[in-house]
Amino acid sequence: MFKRSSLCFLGLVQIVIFLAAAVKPAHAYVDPGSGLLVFQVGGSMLAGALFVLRAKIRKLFGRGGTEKSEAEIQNCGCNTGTEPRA
Amino acid sequence: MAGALATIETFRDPAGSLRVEGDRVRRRVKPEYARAALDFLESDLAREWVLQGKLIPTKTAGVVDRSDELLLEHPRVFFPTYPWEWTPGAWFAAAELTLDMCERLAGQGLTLKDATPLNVLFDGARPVFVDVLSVEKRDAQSPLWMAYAQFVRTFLLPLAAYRYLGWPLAASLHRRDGYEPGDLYPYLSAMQRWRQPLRSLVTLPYLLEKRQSRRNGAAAGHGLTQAPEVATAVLRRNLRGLRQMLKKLKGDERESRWSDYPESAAHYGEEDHRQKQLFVRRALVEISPKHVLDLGANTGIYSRLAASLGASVVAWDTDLAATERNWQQAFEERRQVQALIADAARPTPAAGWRNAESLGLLDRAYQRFDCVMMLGLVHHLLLADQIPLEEVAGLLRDLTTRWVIVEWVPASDPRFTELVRGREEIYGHLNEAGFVTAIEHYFLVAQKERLKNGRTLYLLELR
Repeated sequence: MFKRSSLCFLGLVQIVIFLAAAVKPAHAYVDPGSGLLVFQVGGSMLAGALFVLRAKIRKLFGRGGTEKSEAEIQNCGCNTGTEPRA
Repeated sequence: MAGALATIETFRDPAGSLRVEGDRVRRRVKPEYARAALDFLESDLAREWVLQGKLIPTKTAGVVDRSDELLLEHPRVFFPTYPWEWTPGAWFAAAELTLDMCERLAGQGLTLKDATPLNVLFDGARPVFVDVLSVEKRDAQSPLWMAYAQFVRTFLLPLAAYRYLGWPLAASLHRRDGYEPGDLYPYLSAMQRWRQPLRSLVTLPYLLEKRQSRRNGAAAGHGLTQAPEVATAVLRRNLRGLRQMLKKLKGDERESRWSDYPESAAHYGEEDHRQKQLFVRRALVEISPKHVLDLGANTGIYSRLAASLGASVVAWDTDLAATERNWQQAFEERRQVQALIADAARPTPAAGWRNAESLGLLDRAYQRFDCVMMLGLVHHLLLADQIPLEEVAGLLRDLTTRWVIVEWVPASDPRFTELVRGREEIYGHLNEAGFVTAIEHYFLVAQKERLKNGRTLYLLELR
């Protein structure tokens, strides 16, 4: 029960951090688009948040450290980053 | 048509410019971008891609004057083409190459700063990435690919419009930067809008754009930072997402009235086919051309024959399905055949700023070939396109430096009568004697053979 509450809390914090704080100006050579850019940013936020969340879950249950290997990154079962999904 | 290879120069890239002058292709790199360009070009990855034929070879030609600009030189791709002449298969191959490269670059802390089909040319059916200045350093903390939207606009949305709406890929001639999601949205059914890949390519970006413009008019200023390993993982996921959408856009092969023409041509008996192929093979063996232009190539039987005898072939045909078959076969069998959707009677025009950014079809083809094949096409030019015989002969003279293999189709031929369609009074006089008179103005008849179906094959040599 405690683990589940901690998990939810961590997840929420992580998502809030990503959605609220990690935005900065973009510099592009080509037109980065309007809707397509928002779409990519949104998808990337969610994918990043879910990725970190997954790493934290693993840590919480003692299944691996914070080190993210390439294989782990490839196999993480989170959002594809191409479409925001809650 | 120009009398010599025309010159073009690019000007959009802040990092440098490319000048194609005759057979020389030179690139100037501005001093502040020179080091990065050299670092990439000297990297193992760039060398690997050059060896695999994925990246255009580059040689350092020195520093320009005293300006410290770097001068690079590339070999000229024999016959440069533009996306508006490509088959769907060529579009997919160019898109896949762009994504492959971007994915590999991500692992090296690099990225592509732009992603347009115009960065890719073809060597036979093999795509070659030619814009070496597109590679730049990536912000390690950003999961975003800044050329994502351009990739969607210039690759995925034209392919989606072609697949779901039937809009021709040739329309890319008028759309340098592709389509916006809002261009497709009104034409999609409610069902299409919410099914993948259109949901991610069109509907959601379009709705987000509308919301954005209601709020502050633009989406500028968006960016995102993440821990480097997270950013790289998310970037890779974004690229995989684009690849999945690209895969979904691959449809079934379309049929057309020409796509199974060689198999279904009733006016050609087996013996006629055999005789025709024998004549063409014999002629090609005798003249052993290096560069062949196959006009009206259809599914490419004779293009592949010429390629199998060592020639590099450019094949033009107006029929999309037939040309796609020709392209696919060349791609799968790695043949030196470049199949293009191109019309000798209505060639692709020059385009872009001051009509000087991309060359017209005939400017690129002018005397580039030592052999031109025109099999089963003369009657189409004469009757469907209403081109006079003398003009047909003049075009052949412009395209070849020496040889022509041409097939004369008589007025008694079923295909000829089909095309005349009640205009016998105007075209009834067209006969082989008139054809020979027109041709002999520029060419000597080296060989001639009449087929059993009444058609005649000629091997002509420029006077």
